[in-house]
Amino acid sequence: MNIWQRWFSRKKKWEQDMQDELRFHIERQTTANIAAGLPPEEARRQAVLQLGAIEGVKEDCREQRRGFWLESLYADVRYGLRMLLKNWRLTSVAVFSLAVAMAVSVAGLSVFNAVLLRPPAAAAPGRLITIYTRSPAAEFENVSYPDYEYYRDNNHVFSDVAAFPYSVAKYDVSFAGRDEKATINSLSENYFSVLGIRPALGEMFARSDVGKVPAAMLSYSCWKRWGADPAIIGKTLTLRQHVLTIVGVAPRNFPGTVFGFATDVFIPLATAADIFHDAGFLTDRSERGLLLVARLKNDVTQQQARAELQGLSGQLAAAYPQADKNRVAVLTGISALPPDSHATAALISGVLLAIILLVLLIACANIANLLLGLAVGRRQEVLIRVALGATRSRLVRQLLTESAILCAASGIAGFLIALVPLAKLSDFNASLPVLGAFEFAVNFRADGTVLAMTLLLIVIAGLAAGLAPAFHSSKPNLAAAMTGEIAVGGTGKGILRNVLVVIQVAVCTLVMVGVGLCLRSLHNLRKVNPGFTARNLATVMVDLQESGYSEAQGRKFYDKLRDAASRLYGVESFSLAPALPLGGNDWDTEEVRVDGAANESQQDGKIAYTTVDGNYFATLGIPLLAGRTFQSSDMEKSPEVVVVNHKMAETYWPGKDPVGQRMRVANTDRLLTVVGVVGDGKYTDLDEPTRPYMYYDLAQHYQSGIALIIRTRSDPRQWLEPLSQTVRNLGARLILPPAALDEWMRFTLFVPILTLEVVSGLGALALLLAAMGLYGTIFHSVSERKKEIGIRVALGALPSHLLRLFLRQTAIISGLGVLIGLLLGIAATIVFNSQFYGIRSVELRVLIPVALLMVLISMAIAYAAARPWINASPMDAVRHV
Amino acid sequence: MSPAVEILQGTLDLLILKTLALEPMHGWGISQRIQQVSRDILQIQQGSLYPALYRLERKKWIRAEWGASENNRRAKFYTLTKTGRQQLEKELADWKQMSTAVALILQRV
Repeated sequence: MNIWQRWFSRKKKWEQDMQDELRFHIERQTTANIAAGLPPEEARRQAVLQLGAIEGVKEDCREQRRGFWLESLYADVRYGLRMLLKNWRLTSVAVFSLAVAMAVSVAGLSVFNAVLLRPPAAAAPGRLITIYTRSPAAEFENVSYPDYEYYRDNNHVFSDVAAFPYSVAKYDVSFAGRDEKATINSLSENYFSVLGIRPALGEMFARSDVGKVPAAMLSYSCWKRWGADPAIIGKTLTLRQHVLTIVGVAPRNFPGTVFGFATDVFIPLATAADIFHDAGFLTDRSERGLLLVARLKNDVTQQQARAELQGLSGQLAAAYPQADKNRVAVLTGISALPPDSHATAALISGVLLAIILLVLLIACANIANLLLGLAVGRRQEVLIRVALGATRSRLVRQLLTESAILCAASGIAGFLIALVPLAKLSDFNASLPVLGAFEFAVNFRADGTVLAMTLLLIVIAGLAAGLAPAFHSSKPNLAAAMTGEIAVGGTGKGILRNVLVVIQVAVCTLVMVGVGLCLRSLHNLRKVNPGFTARNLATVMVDLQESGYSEAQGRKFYDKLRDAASRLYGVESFSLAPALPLGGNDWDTEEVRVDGAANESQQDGKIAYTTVDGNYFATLGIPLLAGRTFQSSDMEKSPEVVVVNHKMAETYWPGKDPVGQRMRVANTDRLLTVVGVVGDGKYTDLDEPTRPYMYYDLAQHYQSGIALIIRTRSDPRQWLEPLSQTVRNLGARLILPPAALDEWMRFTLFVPILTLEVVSGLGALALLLAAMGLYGTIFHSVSERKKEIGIRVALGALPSHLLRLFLRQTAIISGLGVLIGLLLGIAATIVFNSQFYGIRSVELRVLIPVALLMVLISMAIAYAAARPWINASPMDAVRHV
Repeated sequence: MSPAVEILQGTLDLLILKTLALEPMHGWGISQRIQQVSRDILQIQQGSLYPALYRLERKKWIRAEWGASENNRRAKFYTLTKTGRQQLEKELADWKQMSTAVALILQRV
């Protein structure tokens, strides 16, 4: 006997027993009644009456049987499926819309999870912490190497402390006779042991390696790319003329120390110091380039560690006041992102998630709408069930089961739909225009956390979509339904549906305001005057140090480069400078003291600067406002000269002639003389405020990384190839392939454009879903009134009258939604104002178009939905109820 | 017949347990006993007795067995289990506490 048969026979026996027991009761009572003197017929009748409604008693008993709820759930699910399949058109539309919204939610959650939640691939990540420093001047600063050593060697709370610079760099590496581009991460020798990462092959760096043969480790992906040689341990690679021995291969799930970038080669900090950095890197306490990761000892709490770090910081500050005064080491839990970008990342993903949840809300409203629509056709059914004794809670449970089925189906479909693009995104490699081709490595794939959050979302969606309709539909209006008059005029359901539409329109409007703000902000950024003319500029960059040039050779190379550039056909002017404005880099700053400043507070300042030659301003089209630019008389040994921008002149020498003014570089005896004033510009970001800026003379400050900038007669793309040819002919190594500057500048708009694309996509989805919901609501509410329409037409109403009637009603409902959405939009603008550029709190240029668009769309939908009913023949409408 | 009183919500369980504490009994017997002992003041809604018995059985406070009734018919007899006895003691204590409290209030006011 299988389990089903056994179950059924047991159920049958239970039923039989229950019936027997009740029969015995009646018999016994009858006997008692006869004994009391009643005639047999009457005695039996009384006995049955005393027991009460026998079928109801049986039902009550059955409900107490074990497994009853499971059976009734099974019945509910079966019944719900049947109802949904019967209305398969509406069902599939609703499931589709919720599935799409769910897919987007799953994608959003996965990104959120990958960026903010998922701990790094380390053993017991809960015991790992990140350490950075804070000083009065800066909220987030890194740690210098000597300070790192001090923290590492003098604490009692960590089992070990590792350090790494939060940066990657791309270099030429030769391996097995081939030249490869490789992304390099440097890290302290103990990094892998602190994180508890076991190598896939070979071994990790060891502290004892310091000072011995320079070692390197490969990442798993790099090892694969280079041929997956199982005997790679002990082989060597060459990086900038340094021979490194490969000691191990990192495991597959460890992409590198910098979030989002796949590393190829790991090298110890000491080796990196030899190869890349100047002599001060390991000794200078003000060269702060390291982020620290530490593992807490077993019995130590974060509180204790924090106190210990404060103590150590105090000791450092006392011993080295120049570098470490008022500097405190701060610890936070470990995460994939560096501590200074945490808040921003949380804000951005929070906003993104909020928008996604709003879209989900619209989709839930669609489901609720569908359920209400179904309920209209089921009034009779509900009525009969109530008449047969179904309780309210039983009906609600039945109806909730249906919404649960819908949401579960949509959720599962959405989850599956999302897996594909997430896998694609995780394998996505892109090259950044400025930084060159980097392999991106973020695993966006959904994991257990995402699955759990999705299940939670399904439950929330099921309740959000199902609860209100279930309560609503389970409250049958017996009197109205019996008379059949419910088909005329509005019902309570009309109100609930209208509320749903208002919510949908409001949320959709809010999302559209978001799209509008992104669009407007981007537009404003595009209109910003960067202070120079980016058109027809091309540039190529070389690294003279990497090419093996000394400073004297490098200066000779400058002349050769200028000579070659002047002979290039179609080059109108050219200049040499180490970097370009808006190229995605931050500028160094110099602390200056201004002689004879307007007031005390203006005396000191940290000024961002770059180093350029005399042709720079003419080549980039930066206007010279006063004085002169650099000239051949400014030489290495002659007094140091600077050109300042207008803002700086205005700030430090208001009302005076800035030309000829002097300032001192703090903590040195260098004296700077202003020789010229040039126009203001944007230097790092397009949305930065105008700030003081100054230019040193390249002739007085040699730069080993140098860019040749040319202004061309026409499309600069035609000069890229000749440009790189010229430089290669001179025997120098290109850092980056040549690029046109306007393309390069597009990178500064990378984030706003990406944001706009994402938000627009979500906006389009919100609009589509809301439109579907609106159409369904109007279609249904008009169809409910077809009897009324028929009567009106019979009484002489024209289709245009009816149309006006329905359009007016839609206008009121959606107008209310738009209004609420606009108010929410204004609130959102105020909250997120700092994320946009040139946006006012009440940005009418966004709000008005959005409002018009939303009203227009809803009117068009109302027209489309109401039209078929209005044109129906009145006879049909009246008869066909 | 004296005027009958409806049994308070929730006290039916207590009455059933107390009745079964004396000896195993079938459903009809329980209803008769409660009525007799309360001198016909308490009248059980016979329809609600059986669901209550099934509920108590599911909670394992009482156990059911088929046996022969006093007039030699097949009847289902209920017996108090060990946990049922514990539950009875607990509910009795609760009831006493509650009725004392109510009585106090009623005397005061």
